[in-house]
Amino acid sequence: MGESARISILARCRHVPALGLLMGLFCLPMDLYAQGRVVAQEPLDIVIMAASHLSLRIGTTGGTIDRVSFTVAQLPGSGAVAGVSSGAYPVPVRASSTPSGATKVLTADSSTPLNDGFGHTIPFTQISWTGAGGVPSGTFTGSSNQQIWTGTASLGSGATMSFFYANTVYVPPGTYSGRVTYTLSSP
Amino acid sequence: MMRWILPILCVCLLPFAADAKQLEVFPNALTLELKPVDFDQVESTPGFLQIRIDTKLLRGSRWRVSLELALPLTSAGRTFRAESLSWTAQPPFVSRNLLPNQRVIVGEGPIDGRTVEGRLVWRAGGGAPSAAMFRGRVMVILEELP
Repeated sequence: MGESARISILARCRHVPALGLLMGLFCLPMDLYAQGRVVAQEPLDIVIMAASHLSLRIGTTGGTIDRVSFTVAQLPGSGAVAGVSSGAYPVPVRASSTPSGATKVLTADSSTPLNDGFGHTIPFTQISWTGAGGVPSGTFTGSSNQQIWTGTASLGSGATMSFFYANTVYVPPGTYSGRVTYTLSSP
Repeated sequence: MMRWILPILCVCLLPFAADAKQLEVFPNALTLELKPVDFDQVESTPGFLQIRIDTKLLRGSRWRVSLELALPLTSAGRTFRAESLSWTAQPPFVSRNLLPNQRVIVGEGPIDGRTVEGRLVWRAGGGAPSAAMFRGRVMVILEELP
């Protein structure tokens, strides 16, 4: 069985050179043609406009302004109080730019102290944060242009801030509210 | 009398012969404006490209349309990645993206005397290496296959 099969193949092989030559004569132009013959070309000019931009998000997505609250149950000097956010906590920080490698500066305006509506205030210097994911830790200075972070990379997922109230000043009891405004700029 | 008919006929038919094109592309320039859609994602406004093939004017059995980047998208020495430029299409055209050193097939079909028409909706994505205006050129290539 195996022998007969081998003989059969050998028998066919004798015709291969002649067949190949014959096929080659007719098929060579066809093979070249099979790759496609270009019959028309039209140019298309493309312009991509990439404007520079900066994106910043502190806290929840959308137009919501997150509120970080500190419930102070101890006397001043008895330790810092951790904050609780109305949104995600620790508070997410996202900052990016086009071009992606542009130098970015994140600043905070904490110049308006927290107040209770009765003339009593708590300076923002009482509030500090622990940063993660590239955000450095710090304490608000109560200034209008405090640098929080600078860099050429983006602040992506994992960049967060956890806030603490120092609780070292005596103030009348009440609810004190204030707002910090963050700004991302590129020099 | 008869000797005048042929030249006159030729002159009359010449404009029609010149207008007949196997491949038409409209428009011949697209502008895509990149906009941030999220922190890590930039997407452009869409660009619409109409392709028309008149298979009556073709020989062979099949037509094929490809795109080839003739001039890379550059701006002041910086290059926008060809792969970040893509299009979506309906059959017989296919949705794909450009490649830097390669002819990309956009569509293929039979040469049956019909007119083939389709629209490619172009978008640029990814991130731009710089805030700039990148210019390049793509060739729309029509081939006849045996």
